[in-house]
Amino acid sequence: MNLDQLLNPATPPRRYVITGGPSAGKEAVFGLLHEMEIPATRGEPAREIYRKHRDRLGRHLQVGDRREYSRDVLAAFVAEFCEHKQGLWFYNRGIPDGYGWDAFFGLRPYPELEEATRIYRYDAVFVLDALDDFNSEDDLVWAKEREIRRVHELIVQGYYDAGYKPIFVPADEPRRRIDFILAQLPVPAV
Amino acid sequence: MTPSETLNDQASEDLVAEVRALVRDGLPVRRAGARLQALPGVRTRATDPSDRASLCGALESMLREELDRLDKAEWAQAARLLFGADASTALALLTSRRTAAAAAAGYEVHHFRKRIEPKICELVALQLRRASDAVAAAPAAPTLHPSRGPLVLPADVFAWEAAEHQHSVASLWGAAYLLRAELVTVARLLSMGAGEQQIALAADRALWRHAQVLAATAAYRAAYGAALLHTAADVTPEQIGASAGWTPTLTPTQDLLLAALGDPEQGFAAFTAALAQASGGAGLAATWRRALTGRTGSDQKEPT
Repeated sequence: MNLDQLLNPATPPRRYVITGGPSAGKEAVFGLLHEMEIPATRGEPAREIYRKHRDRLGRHLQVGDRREYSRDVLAAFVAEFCEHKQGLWFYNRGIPDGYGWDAFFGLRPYPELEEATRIYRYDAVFVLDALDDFNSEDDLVWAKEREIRRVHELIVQGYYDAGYKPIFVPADEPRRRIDFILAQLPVPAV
Repeated sequence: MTPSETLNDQASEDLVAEVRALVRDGLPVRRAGARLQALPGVRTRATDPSDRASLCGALESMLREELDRLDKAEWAQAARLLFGADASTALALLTSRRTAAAAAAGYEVHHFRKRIEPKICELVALQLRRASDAVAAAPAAPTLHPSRGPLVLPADVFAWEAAEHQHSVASLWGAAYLLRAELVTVARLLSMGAGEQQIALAADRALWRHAQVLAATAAYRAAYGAALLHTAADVTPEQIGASAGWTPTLTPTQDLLLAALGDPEQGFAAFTAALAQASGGAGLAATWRRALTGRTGSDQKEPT
């Protein structure tokens, strides 16, 4: 199968999530996807929403603020899901990342998240393994933090909870990781 | 020492036996042995660690993840089939799951049952324990290591929040250690029979640091709630403060007053001045000094 077949826009929507904890090398993978002109999320909506909430509050988010933030991020994920109508698209994180986010703060999943998880289903989920045993990243020190490993575990757990069977992408150069991901994709029905 | 290293042989055997029981039942996990339920990794993943169903759900997710990344890759598919984690054997009886697993591993089924299956169970038990090792069960100060380069954070909301959380935890532990330093100084001065004024000053410095502990505790609670995140047991921020050592019991009003004056940017002189001006502040300081030192000496003076 060649890349053109995969990228054929005249096919039903195929939605794939690429996720993982911080320092999993997600940014490098998405950067290369863009270079290769493979349709994929640009930026990460949650980051801008996070900044806006902090700016509005004038401080770090607290217990009472987190649910509202989660809802805003969920709305952005749902909007991004629905915007995609045809062909292949790689999402920078997906709706079930919300489970990991809530679990990080010891919160239970909320009804809107569970409902969105049921309604908006991705075709496959790729989890980038942490780069902590891979010797080429600036943020290697951070990747070894226990809390970062924990975030990664919680994100993975969230996808299992949401009924997905994630495909783990080994730590490697971005190009090889993309090749690995593309090799898992089925040929689209035209 | 890691938690797994503290498990004795009997405990390890028990854990393997409980994994074998999971094989018998197959997925989904509807019941789990006490050792599996008690794994820190399971308890921290569970939405409600006091709820058995929640623990079973957390164990199942953890189990699926470990099966998906089994150390012995050539057995990975067989292990998934055996546990019923693969769609083709999901909800099937053990005999069917075992037959499919043996075929996938390339063994005759009896050989598989006797020789390979026990090894798979041992491996899964080992991986579950190892995955739990990273989770601390008791309050312990973050372990720090020297770094060769600057810390570079990825532009990621999870990383930002993890950094915020580390800041809060480090502030809390930092305040607790600074209080500890003052408490042991008070104890040393008392032991050495130091002058009353010197002891009173040390006690006042301990009160200053105690105020900072209370402020850091309040800040943690506001940001993250009553329990410390990512600990297997329900550790509270107050427990971290308490680990500094014994401190006199104060009233809730006094605690609130101290927390309000516990700005870590504020120096000792500014703190004592603000406390002296606050309603009830002078009395609080005198009560603290008396309780902490057991002295009511005439040369103990209010801080200036």
